[in-house]
Amino acid sequence: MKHNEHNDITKVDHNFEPYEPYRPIPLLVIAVVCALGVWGVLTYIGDLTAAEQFVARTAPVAEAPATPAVELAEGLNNASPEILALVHEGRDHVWSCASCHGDAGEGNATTPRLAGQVSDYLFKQLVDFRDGIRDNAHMAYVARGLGEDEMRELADYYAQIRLPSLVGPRLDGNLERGRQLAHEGDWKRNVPACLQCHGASGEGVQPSFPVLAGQQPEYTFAQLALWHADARGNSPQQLMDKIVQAMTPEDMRAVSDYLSTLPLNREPAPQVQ
Amino acid sequence: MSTNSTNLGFRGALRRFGKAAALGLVLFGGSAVLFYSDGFQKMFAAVGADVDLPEVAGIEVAQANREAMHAARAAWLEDINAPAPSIPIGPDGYFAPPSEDEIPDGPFGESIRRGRDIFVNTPKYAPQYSGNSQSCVNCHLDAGRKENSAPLWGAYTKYPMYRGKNKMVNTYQERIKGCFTYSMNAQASPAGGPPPLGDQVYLDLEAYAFWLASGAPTGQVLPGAGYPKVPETELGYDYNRGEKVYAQNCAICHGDDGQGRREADGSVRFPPLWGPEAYNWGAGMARINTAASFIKYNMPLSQGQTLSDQDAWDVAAYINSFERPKDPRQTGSLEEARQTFHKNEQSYYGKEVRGKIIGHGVSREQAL
Repeated sequence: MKHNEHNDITKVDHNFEPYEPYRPIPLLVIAVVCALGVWGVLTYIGDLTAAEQFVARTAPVAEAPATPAVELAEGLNNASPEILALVHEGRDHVWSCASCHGDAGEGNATTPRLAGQVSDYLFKQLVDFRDGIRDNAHMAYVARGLGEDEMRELADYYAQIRLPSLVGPRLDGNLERGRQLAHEGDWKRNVPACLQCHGASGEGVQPSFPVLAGQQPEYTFAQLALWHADARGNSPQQLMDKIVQAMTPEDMRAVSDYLSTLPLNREPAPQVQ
Repeated sequence: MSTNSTNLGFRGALRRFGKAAALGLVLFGGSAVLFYSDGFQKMFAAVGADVDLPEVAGIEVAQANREAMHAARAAWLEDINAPAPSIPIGPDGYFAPPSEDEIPDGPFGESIRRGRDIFVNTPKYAPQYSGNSQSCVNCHLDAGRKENSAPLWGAYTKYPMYRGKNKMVNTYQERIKGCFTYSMNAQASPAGGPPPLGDQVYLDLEAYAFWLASGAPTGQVLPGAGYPKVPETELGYDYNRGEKVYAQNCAICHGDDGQGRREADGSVRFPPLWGPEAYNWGAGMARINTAASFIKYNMPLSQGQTLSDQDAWDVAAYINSFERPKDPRQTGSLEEARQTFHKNEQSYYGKEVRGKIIGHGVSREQAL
């Protein structure tokens, strides 16, 4: 006959301990938690100090200019009513240029300044946005709503605007290193001076080399970062791709900040040839 | 209850926590040291993982090596048994010239700076002897510092030297006189010719080159001096093939018409390659082999050594297949000048190109 062992009262384990035994947390686990805690606290203190220093350094520059850009700009009305409508009001459901780039084309952080930019360069960018050669969803959407004649007129309009530089360094880059890269380059890394192609004062060279002087430093940095990551495909002959891939992130910040400090001295309204 | 034998009580637990905290600090410290000494990266690299070791800027390596040379020079003077200073080199192994912030103060430094200014913008700083839109730096990149771009530090210590071009031992000044005569086309300058020997223009350029060569040995040809030769190709050179190479690689800066580009204020940004504002027919660059060498190693700017040898030869031929200012040595007929000065060279001087003999030269007046 089958016997049920569990019910056999004669087989009680007298050593059975009904309470949870004392099992301390292993020493190493507490130690690791302590180590992580120290790391966390030090990181927090470090970041806090850096942030305070950054704010202290950049606060004066971050203040809004006393005069609005539209009051400093010349040539804001030098276009046909249709083009000015595109600039300020947009068309159908395509938003206006000014809604992002500002009423004077002054730009804002990662949105580039367009005022005074080389017109052939601006035209090429619009075409490249439309064709997907330069990848930016917002600009692709806008550019697909424009005809080539409008692109040309918009490019000419922004190129003829005269607006002094309104920006300054905001990325905490090393300005001396930025100056060196801009004026002399670092040929040991095969990085030529920016200004060797973009003009002695960074004011661009028709038709292919854009103005760098006075550009929003965040925009310049963002574009360099795209080239660095092989993600901005429309530089002629891949010139910028290869140059920027030889630059470190610190160099990119330094040069973006330095270029934003260059003034724009160009004569008013030169004739586009 | 048997738990009392293992329970530490409150004080015991605190003691245990103290031990753990101390061990935690040690752990943190050890990891931090390992992290900041690149230990992790080196460990990863040791097992073959692809990691980026922190990079040092190229310029900084060169600078550190120059400082080591200065220190070794001082130590050697103090103690003859100290190791002799070595040639300062950059991270790529080429000679490392001094950086601009090492230019000394005083009259010598002023002369160096004037020389550098003339070098990088000749029409502006030596206008009386400048007969075209060229500057020294156009063919000697990075203000005469770049290897394989005929750097000044590679040239200066070679002089005085015998040159086949004028069949005599040339001083450094006499060499630069040649640059003004041909590459700067001084015949079309306000002075009508190159600066006379001893002119301040030479003294300043000499000061700049002398200073750039500081630490370079005499009696040795330095790697990176001059332009490396490009091997001749089976197909030879052909300006027709070169036209396409030019359009794809050069026109963006030098223009479809080879006239370069100027800034809004009229200053030259990209130099003209032919026509009255270019180097003249007597310049080294008018020889196709020299131009091919320069192009192969330096052009397009920042993309040296990307053109094939064949493309470098062909595009050099294309650029040198157009008229440019006349060879100032030509006194009689073009054919006489070709026989005397251009006989065994690789150039189109006095030869037929596109159905026309070229080499007669083109002046600014003719171009107007």
